[in-house]
Amino acid sequence: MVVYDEGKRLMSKKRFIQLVGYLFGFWVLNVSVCHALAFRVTLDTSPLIEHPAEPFSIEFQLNDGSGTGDANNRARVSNFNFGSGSVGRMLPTLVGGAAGDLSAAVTLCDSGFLNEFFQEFIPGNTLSFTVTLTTGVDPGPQPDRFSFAILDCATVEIPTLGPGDPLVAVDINSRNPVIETFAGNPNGVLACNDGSGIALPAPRVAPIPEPTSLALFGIGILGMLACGWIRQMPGRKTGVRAAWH
Amino acid sequence: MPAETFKVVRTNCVVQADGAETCDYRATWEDPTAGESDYHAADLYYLETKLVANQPGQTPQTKQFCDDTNTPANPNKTPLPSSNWAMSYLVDGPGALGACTKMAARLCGGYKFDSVADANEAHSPVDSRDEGQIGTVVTACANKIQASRGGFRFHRATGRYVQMVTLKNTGTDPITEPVTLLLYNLSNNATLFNQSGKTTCIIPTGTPYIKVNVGSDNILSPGESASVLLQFTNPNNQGITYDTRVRAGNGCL
Repeated sequence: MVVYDEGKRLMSKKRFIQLVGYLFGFWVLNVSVCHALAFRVTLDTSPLIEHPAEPFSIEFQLNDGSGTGDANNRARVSNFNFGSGSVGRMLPTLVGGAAGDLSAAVTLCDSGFLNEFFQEFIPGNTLSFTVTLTTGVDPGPQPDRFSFAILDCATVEIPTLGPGDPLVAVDINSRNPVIETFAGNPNGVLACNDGSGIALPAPRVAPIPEPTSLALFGIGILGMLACGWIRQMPGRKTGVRAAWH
Repeated sequence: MPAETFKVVRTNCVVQADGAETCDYRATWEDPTAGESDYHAADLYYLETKLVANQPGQTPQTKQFCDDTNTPANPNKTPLPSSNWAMSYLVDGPGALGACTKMAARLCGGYKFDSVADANEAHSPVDSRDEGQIGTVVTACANKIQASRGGFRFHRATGRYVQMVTLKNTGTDPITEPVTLLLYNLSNNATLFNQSGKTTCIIPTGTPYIKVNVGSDNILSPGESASVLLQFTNPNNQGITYDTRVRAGNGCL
């Protein structure tokens, strides 16, 4: 009778540990796979080189859809590569939950309705950067929206074929939202000098595994393996068998 | 002489979440100030209404216009300033019109209906239809249009916030223009810059709306989507919130 109770207790404890391990593993996998989006943006900026609408600025927005500035999403833009260009001399302009600069990394949080960053850059043959975007879906009908644009010397967007002239835009309306890209609109008009719009090609976007996600994914796999190891422990079978026989 | 400016209009319309609409209605007309009105001379006016089919398959409500069993209207009268006897008239309908209704209305009068003994029988029975005066009001039917909103971007070129809204016909029936997106409870900090207008017949009055272009065929087919770009002025950069209703069909908004 004593052996039976001990075995039952041991079985319950191990099953509990096993269950927790599985739950942790699934949770971590879920978080790592579904709650962040990382992608590399590459844009041919050669049409901007020595263009009369200089100086140009790189602009990002992460705007809140809830109407309350719920700060449930963050964007980190990093690993800037300006090709033959460089960062400009002017300090960045930061609005709302924006921080950082182009020489290191830019972060945006939707803690305000408008969260905007822009800073001057000197265009080269190409521009690329990495965006890591959390994908918390707002409960209401309006998603948060991340967007990227290039501003002309009037700090106004170069016209594109997208609504509000972005080159890249993401509505965070699911855990795996669609990344939209738009080309420059040569039929538009530049605010800077009333010149014609610039025929920028649409940026290329390549999804990349987020380092943090990879780490979490690895932890998740380890958690699941640990569960399997616990299940294979000799004491588990012995104890249970001792209990039942 | 006929009555003048006979009109029937929708009022106090309520649009439900599925686009179905109920309305009250109101009729107005005036006596002619030159000559004598046959309607006025009959002492009594009759506002007569009849439901007609608004959708295929609907059964209209039959009713005989301008017969002696009709109930006289009891309008509010206001003297017209240019005459010592002519009046302007206003009468509210006795009940609300249900959703998906089409109603024709006519003004009737004349000695046949005269309740006053020895009325001037020179005035023939009259029916405003004969003078080309017939009013029609409709209420919108429920629809299967789903509205999906995008996020906001501050458009530096205009200083306005832009937001794309996509309407999709999720039903099995085609929907003909006009299709209207109504923005209820728009937060006070924001104004819909590119609105088509503000409601006068739909309550709360003053609700901004925008007409949606559903394509060159003027039909939103099953499964088809149409997008409209909303532009908001929002000088204090506060959050923009609102509720939507999508109304399909004609009628005063």
